[in-house]
Amino acid sequence: MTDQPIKIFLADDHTIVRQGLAKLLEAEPHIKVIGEAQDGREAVNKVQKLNPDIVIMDIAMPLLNGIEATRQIKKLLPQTKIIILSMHSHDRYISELISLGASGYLLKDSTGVEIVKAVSAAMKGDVYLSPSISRRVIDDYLSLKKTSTREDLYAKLSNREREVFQMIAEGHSTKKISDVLCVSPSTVKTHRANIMEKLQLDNITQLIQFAIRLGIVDVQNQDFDS
Amino acid sequence: MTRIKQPKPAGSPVDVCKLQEDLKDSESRYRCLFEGSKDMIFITFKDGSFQDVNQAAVELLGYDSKADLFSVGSAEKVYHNTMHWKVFQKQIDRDGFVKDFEAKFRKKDGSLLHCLLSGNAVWGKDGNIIGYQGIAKDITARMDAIRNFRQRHHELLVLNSVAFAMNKTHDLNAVLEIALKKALEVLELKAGAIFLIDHDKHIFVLKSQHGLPAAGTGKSSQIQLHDKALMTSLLEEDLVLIPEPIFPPFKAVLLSPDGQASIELTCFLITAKEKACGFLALDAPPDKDITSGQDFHLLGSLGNFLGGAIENASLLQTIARHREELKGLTARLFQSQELERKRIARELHDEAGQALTGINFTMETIEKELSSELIHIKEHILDVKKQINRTYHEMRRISYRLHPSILSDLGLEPALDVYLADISKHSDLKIDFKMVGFEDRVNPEIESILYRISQEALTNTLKHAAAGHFKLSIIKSYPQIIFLAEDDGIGFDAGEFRGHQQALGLLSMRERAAMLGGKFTLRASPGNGTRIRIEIPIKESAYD
Repeated sequence: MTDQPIKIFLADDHTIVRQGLAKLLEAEPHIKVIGEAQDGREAVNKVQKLNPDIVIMDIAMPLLNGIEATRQIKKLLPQTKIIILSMHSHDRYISELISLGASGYLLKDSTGVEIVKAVSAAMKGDVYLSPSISRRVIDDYLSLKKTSTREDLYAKLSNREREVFQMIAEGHSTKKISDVLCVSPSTVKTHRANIMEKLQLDNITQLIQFAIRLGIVDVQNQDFDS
Repeated sequence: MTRIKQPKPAGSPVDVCKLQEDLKDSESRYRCLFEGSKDMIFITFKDGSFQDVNQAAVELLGYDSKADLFSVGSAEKVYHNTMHWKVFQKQIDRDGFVKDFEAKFRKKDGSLLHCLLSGNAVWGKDGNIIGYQGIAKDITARMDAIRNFRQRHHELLVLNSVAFAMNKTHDLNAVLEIALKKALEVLELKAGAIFLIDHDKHIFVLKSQHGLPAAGTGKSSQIQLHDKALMTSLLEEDLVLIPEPIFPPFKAVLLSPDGQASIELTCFLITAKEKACGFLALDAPPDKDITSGQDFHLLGSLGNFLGGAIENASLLQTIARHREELKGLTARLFQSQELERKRIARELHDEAGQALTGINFTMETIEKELSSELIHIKEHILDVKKQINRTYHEMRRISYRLHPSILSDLGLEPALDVYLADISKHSDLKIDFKMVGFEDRVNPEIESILYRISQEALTNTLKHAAAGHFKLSIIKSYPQIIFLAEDDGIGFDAGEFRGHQQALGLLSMRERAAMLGGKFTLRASPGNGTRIRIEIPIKESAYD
């Protein structure tokens, strides 16, 4: 590492936060705050010009929020490290931003010491999370490791296929479906074949069972735990 | 004369005497039957010339005497349609008789006599037909009754088709259209119209017309009543009518748009609650009187009937308008509530929250720069920092409850995930949640409404259902999103949910769904849990 100070850019729409942060960080001899922005769009523009090492970014910002700003900066300047400093402690935010390439996620009640730690970690290429949120991120990660289900496969259906899927499950004949959708019966059959393939189903009974389980078909007295 | 079998030649003078006596007796009995009958009896020769008729025939046909009738020459001449005489003849020639043959005779004065005719052949000694005899029953009265009955039947049909139209549609124009069409049909008229009175603008408005070249519907028309005083009172004042079953018909003139031609119309007032609301105007030919008798009654009843329909339609319109207004207001209420919550949440979160964050950082800097002799102040600074922290968390909690920013930042699924996880942490309810088929986020309005509906559903379950399990699914089918919330709780009688304590929550769910054009279905019964299904249409192309 050279003696060059770490160049930091602050993006937060609140002057009082930027001032407080700047004071905290400037107290560290190897850190220099080189610029500030008060909204996401300004941040993306200025970061391109100033090329900082690290951007400390808030999520809730006008014009362009921190999530979108992070996405754009990581796309334009993949080398730039981004540390999120947010009030949001929900793991969904954290996993979303980490997956966008953020190098740290700190809550706004973090101490100055933590922020400095996060800056050092980011410079080394590590990811730093506030201690209070690390646990949750791990839990979240573990829960995400489940295998892909048929419900995930359903998302692969096109709108037209979803329409046909629902009509088949509701018990409509190929003829009726083709009449309603104004397409030929053979088109309906093609859709049906594609649906079965995409959902990895062998027969119509399985298709109907799946539709009932999803809740697409309105069945009375449905077994609650089905 | 009938073919009375001649008695066998007599054996003795006494016998002959007796036989002659008998014959005379029988002759007089038959003569009595013949003359005394109230039905027309006639005997003709083969060519149709009268041989004999009874008194009833003379009277029924309106002649002065038998001779008077015989002077006509032939029975054929008495038939209204000579064809009928020929058919009568032919059938007897073929079958020897005819039964219940309907025919009309022309009376001396030219009017018609409707008869039911039965007859048979008169045989000559050689076995050939030498004449015809027949008995005709006057069924004019019966036929009149039948015609009357048919007329009544028609009237009922007209009224019924108007009633049917009223039941089927709330569209007043359609009802008027049908009423006019049916009235013209049954009265066998070619042209007519229905005018309504616009009491605000003081004009007659043509609502429906048929066969009148003069006018287009919906416009104020050039119609003038002959009775100017009546016209003024119909237009200018809210004329209160004397209660009578049918207001007397009146005449009016309809001018063509260029003011050149004019048609005289016979009008029947349409009334409701003793007030005039319009009139039927019919173009009746000069030889057709519709202002009296059956027609008058039919048109009068139709007028009363249509009055009811117009009254109904205007009430329905008012109700529909109020409902729309209410729906609009509810939607605006929800929207502004949402906006306001969002604004307050943001302000709390951003302004106050960020200010606290800033203060916190400043406190930290102060703490650092504090010289060692002021060490006792450090305690206070720590206290302040703790207080700031508490306030900050409390504020975040309030802000989140007002409007979760995660909903706008990350979308419906993460927002519901966080919300449901939080509820499940604080209650024993088992919560299942899945969102299926969403690759991209749907529009923010749908997200925010579905979020609120989910909250309402779960709140209802928590408050009232005593359920162990709550399932929430949101599936993106096409062309709709299917929202499903169900619990295994105590349920309630869905038929009476309006009076139920859950009603407000359910109504608010239904209204929110309506904002998106959604279809709300509630299924609940005591002991069987509650199930809410909402289908929300999505405006996407079928081929994404």
